[in-house]
Amino acid sequence: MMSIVLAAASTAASAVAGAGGVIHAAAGTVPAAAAAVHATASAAAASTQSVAAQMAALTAQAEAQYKALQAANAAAHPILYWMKMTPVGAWVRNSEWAFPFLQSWHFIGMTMLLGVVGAIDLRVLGVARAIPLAPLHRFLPLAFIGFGINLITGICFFCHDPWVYAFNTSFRIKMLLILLAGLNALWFRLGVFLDLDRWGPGIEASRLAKVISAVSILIWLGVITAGRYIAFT
Amino acid sequence: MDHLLLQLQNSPFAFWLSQGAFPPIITVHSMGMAILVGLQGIINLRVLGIGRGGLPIPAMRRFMKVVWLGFWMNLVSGVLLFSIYPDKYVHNTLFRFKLSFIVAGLVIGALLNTSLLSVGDEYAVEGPKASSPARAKALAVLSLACWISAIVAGRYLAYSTFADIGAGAG
Repeated sequence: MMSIVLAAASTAASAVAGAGGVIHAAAGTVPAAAAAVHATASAAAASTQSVAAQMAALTAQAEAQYKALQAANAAAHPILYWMKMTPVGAWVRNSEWAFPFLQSWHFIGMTMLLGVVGAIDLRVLGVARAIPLAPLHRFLPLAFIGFGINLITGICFFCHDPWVYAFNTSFRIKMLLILLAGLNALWFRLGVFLDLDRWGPGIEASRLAKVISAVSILIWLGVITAGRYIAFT
Repeated sequence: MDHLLLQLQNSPFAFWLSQGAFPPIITVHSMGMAILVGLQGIINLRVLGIGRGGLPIPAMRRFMKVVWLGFWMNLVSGVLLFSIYPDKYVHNTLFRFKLSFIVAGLVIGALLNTSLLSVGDEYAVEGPKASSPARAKALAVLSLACWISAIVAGRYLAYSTFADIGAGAG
């Protein structure tokens, strides 16, 4: 930008110098001097036009480079490009209130998921031991509904600009942690689910269950942390 | 008032907060929200009759101490977040709504907890008595409404701009 301004200044200066030469040569005749002033004005106008033309050319060049980059990105990652071009992606990009609307649902879903999973994990770890575990575990469908809400709203966020998320370290860590949380929940289902009926009011859960629950709480807190850091990565 | 807030916003403390403390504080704020609203929500749903078979209400009340842990996490992190950009919040209608919902949610939660004190162990078993009193159910619905509204107000608050607020301070 600076170089364009400098180039414009030097062009204008040489135009004025040229016109000064004309004035000097035509000294003595008033009409000739008037013609020379006219020439100066046209030279300045011409130089302004050339600067504008230069800037237009540079802008066009930058636009072409940007389009080429976009095309290269689209060619390299056709799935990401397809997601970006979906109506959902366009809606989230163009609507002013799509983000807070979707985030409201994302947070409500998170609360449902973590409320249920957290309550079960805390009970297994011995908080509110008076609660029998088997009936508490029946809240689990609510956690799946919360997960479903967050999967849908999460896909909406992703589609708004897939490149923002796909190469974001925090986002990748978050996805990995959610996968680990799922495997951990599967471990709970296969490892201790049959024991839940035995853990009635006041009865302590097994050491294995406590380990799984402690890991579960840590992973989900990690998911929240990684999720919040997407915006800062 | 505004002068004091401006001083707070321009203080080295607020500067330190805005430099690198914002992400961890907002993370703690989200965790506290999940703990507070998640567990209060489970208690409310039990009072409303979801998962009532064999799930004693007096035992569910024990989660209230964890609910309060979430509240204190969010009070501390919330005050810190406020002190980074006081003039984003102090004249913001959404912020006032959010605070109102939180205060209402806390009062209703306390009333619900008190009304559940009279709920005896007979509510733990399956059958007609497993359902809680109408007053408790009404409070549970109001509590859910308040906390969900507080979350939504908080999310829209994050996307409201300085220009919308009309204060223009700073």
